[in-house]
Amino acid sequence: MAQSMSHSRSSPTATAALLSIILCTGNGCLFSGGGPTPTVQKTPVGSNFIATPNTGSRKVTLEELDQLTNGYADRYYMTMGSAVDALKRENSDPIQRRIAHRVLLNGVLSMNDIASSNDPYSQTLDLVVAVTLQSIVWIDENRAEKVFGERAPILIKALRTMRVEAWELAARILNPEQLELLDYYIVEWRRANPANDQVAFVKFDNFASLRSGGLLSDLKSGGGFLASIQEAGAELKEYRRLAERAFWYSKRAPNLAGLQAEAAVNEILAAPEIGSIIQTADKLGATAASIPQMIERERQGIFAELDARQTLLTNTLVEVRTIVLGADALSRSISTLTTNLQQTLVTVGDTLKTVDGIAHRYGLDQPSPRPASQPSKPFDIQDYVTAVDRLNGLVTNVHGILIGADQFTRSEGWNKALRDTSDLADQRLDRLFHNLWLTLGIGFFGTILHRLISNQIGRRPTPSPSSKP
Amino acid sequence: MIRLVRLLAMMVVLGLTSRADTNQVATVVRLNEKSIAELTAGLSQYENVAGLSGKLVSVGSGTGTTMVNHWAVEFCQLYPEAELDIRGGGATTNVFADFIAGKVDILPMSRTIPTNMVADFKARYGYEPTEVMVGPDALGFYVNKNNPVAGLNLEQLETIYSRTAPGGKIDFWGDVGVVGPLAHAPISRYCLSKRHGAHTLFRETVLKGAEYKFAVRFESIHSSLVQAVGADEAGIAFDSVMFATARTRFVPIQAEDGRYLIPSYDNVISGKYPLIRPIRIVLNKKPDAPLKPLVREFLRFAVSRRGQRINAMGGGFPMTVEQQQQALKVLGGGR
Repeated sequence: MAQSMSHSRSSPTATAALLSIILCTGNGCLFSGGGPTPTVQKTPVGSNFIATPNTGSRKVTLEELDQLTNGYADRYYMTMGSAVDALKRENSDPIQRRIAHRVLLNGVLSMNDIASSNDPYSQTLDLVVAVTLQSIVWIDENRAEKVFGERAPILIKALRTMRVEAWELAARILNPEQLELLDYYIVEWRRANPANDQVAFVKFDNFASLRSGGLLSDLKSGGGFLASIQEAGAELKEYRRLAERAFWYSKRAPNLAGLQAEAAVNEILAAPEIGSIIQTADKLGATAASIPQMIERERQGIFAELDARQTLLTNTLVEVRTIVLGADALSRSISTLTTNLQQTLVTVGDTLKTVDGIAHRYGLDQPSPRPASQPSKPFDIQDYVTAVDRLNGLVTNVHGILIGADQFTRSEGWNKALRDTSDLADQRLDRLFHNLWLTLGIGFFGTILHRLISNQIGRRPTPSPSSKP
Repeated sequence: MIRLVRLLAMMVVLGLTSRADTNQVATVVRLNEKSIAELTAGLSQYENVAGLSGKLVSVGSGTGTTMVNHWAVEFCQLYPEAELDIRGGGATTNVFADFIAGKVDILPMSRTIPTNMVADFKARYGYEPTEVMVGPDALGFYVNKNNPVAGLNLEQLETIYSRTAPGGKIDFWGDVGVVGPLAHAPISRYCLSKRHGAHTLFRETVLKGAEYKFAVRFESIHSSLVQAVGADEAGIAFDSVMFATARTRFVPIQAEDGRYLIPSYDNVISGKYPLIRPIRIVLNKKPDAPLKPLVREFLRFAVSRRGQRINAMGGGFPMTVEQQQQALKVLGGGR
């Protein structure tokens, strides 16, 4: 950043002077005006300065003052930029980042605006006013600690450094009385405007209500340490300074644009709405992160439930098997019974045929005028088909549910359990259906047999009393 | 038994510690608006006069000039025809010369007039210059708000600042009882430049005329001096109580009775605080002759209820009724 702020000028003299300013960062430099090789005179460093200048030395010229303010603006960018970078480094608080950047941006905008203005007197006063007010707000009013907490010393140190440098610069042109008066104006302005946050943009002209006009006029009339202006050539120098200022400002415009763009991003990120969205996104992310655990828990729950159900199912199947076995035995008994009955019926049939033959022979095979005393219910196969359809549909549904669960969980354990259950169920159901069909068949056969027997018995003639022996 | 003794010793230590904490908390001396209203309620009001005009030149000490500037803002609204030329920069030898030469009307000062200056004045006019007290003040010792130092005595202050102090060396905060991280930090000494009354008063009364240490960093601006301490946790400085900030606190100073006192209004008015220095205005007043009207009215406004409230709102302390009456008696021309 520091390197990016170095700059060149069309004039070789000015270039050398500016390079010297950059090399002397933090110390402040004084240049002899107009000479090809600027001489550098150091001023007291840091806060250990005495405002009373060496009155034996020559006075500061306007050109030198112009160079000094430009150099100060560059140093401000470097010092404050480094401090703000440090404040933002590994700082996840968007509010702190935004405010830190805003301090830098406002300060740099103000410094560049001041340094590119056309009046070196006002430049110097404005520069001192802006930096001093910034230091009052962030240091003396303790806002730095309120906003940045433990990181506050970074900003405090940087602002203090720039304030000291600003007053060193002011001490080049103001005598002790004027310095004290300027300090008074600044402090009083702040006292009268305690709620003003954008103090970096306050200019000396804002002190009009404090009868401050005298100081500036005093300065311009040679009341301070400024060299008197020689009218001859003053206009020409003014044009040259204007061109230099335009060039100086244009070199820094990209940096300013970058700072403003970053400020816009910071503003957006620190907005409550965006904060809410980020918070929601965070929650969503946390939820997404917890989904695998949630699924695992669900799967474990399903398996636990399945285990419990499997036990229940096994017991049920055992019971079913017992019942089916019982049904088997029953069906076997029925089968035996029907076989025996069949044989008996065959015998009975034979007997009946014999009887029918005898009856026919004796004319006894005429139909009886009396109907059967208890007509049997007509047999309807549709009821049994409907029942079987329903049962089949139920089994299909159960099977579908099991397949759906299998697809959802994709679990090998579940698949195995499902296969076992399905196979077992299929086997049992096959057997159940087999036995059911068998039972139905037997029932159907029995019914037909019953009907036949009923018919036969109904058609048998009742022996008359006369036929008795 | 030994355990009981240890327990009692611990309780004593804890008690002392909590007392030190109490001292640290009680370091704010600035008066709030309610206190200012109460303290100035008994002061007489200023009454305007008609047709006041002319020019008044004031040159002098920084603290006194700050007060004069506060009054001037409102005084100029009362008298738009009056022209006030107010300059600070300290009551230097040149300023005294201008005063004796009649180029300066009032000379705000935070210390007494040097005897040689009084002699020069008397040699020219045949009478001594007149002093009017316009506001109580004291030298407060500022440290960073995070500095836990419980208190200092005048000997310790002398050792801290004097180049030839007889009382050994005090270079680190641990040397004056500070514990914790700051104990090993070297003391950063700050002082106003020699043009200021605080510089001279401290040198005369505490350093007993000795030179300041080479390590002392001199500041020319009040607000910058106090800010230096606010930005430097190891810093110490002294100045008028009216420049306190949120990042500084006052160190209690040991008074004659052995107690450690901060420069609060009560301690300053009662005279118990050891480094009191009333702000005064030096005048050229011929005995039994009226003052220049503009000078008289400006000073009557300064010591009035309104003037003292302005002073207190600026961070200073208001005068008592007795002090006001005494000042008005000197000024004369009462209505």
